[in-house]
Amino acid sequence: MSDAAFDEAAVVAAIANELKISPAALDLESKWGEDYDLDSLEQVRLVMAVEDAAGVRIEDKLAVQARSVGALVELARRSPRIGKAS
Amino acid sequence: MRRLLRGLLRRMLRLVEPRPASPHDTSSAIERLRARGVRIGEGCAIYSDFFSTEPYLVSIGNHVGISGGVKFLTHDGSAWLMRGEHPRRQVLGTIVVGDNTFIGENSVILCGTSIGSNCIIGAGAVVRGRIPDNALVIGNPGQTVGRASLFIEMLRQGENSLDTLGMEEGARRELLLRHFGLTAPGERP
Repeated sequence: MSDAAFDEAAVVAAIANELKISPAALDLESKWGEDYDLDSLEQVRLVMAVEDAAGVRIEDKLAVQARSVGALVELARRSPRIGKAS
Repeated sequence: MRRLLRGLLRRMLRLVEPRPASPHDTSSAIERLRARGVRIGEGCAIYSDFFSTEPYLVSIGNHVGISGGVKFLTHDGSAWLMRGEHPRRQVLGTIVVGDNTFIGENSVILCGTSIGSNCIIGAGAVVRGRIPDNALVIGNPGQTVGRASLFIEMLRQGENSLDTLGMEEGARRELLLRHFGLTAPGERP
């Protein structure tokens, strides 16, 4: 599923914010485990932040498989829209 | 002689006292809580006995895990400040926990709280109000930070997710020491 209204910049900014780095420094190839050492709770927060920024609901089983920044952005792009929370 | 008799009596009492089949069997504790009025569903594991002075105001669903040190507070102690004017006044509330929920070590569940089904309450959280189904709650004040189902998926995939429950203790210890790199392969822990 593709959505023309998908705001990739907002999603990247949300990820950078969770990782506490600048969006410009975010490498789409970087991985949660190897590059950022995120624990389970931090990964949950990250997915929730992406869902909120993109206005989508990401399936749990798919979220676990998205191991890199780029994969999570792509997953958000393909996920069903639910409208922004804010 | 007296000491000998006391020792013998203690040993006999230990024999007749019902003991849990495993450290994870809390059925006798659950029976004691039910006798105090706590409504408890089936398949629960409860390691706390702090159910306040009104345990009959607490309802626990089926397959709920409650860790040690969890406190259920069915009244608001700050009513103390009203006592000058209202010497007998208390502020009370019920606590409801849905099915298949886990409450972490040393959490505090305040009166007037309803926790949904399939929730995870993180260790040390202080929870009040309505917590929806499938919520992952942490902190003080307890806040929903995500979906419990997503957290479980993350945990399931984690490298420290191991099938060790019910293993023979020696084998389990050896496996864990090896897994965490605390002993060399082949070396006895």
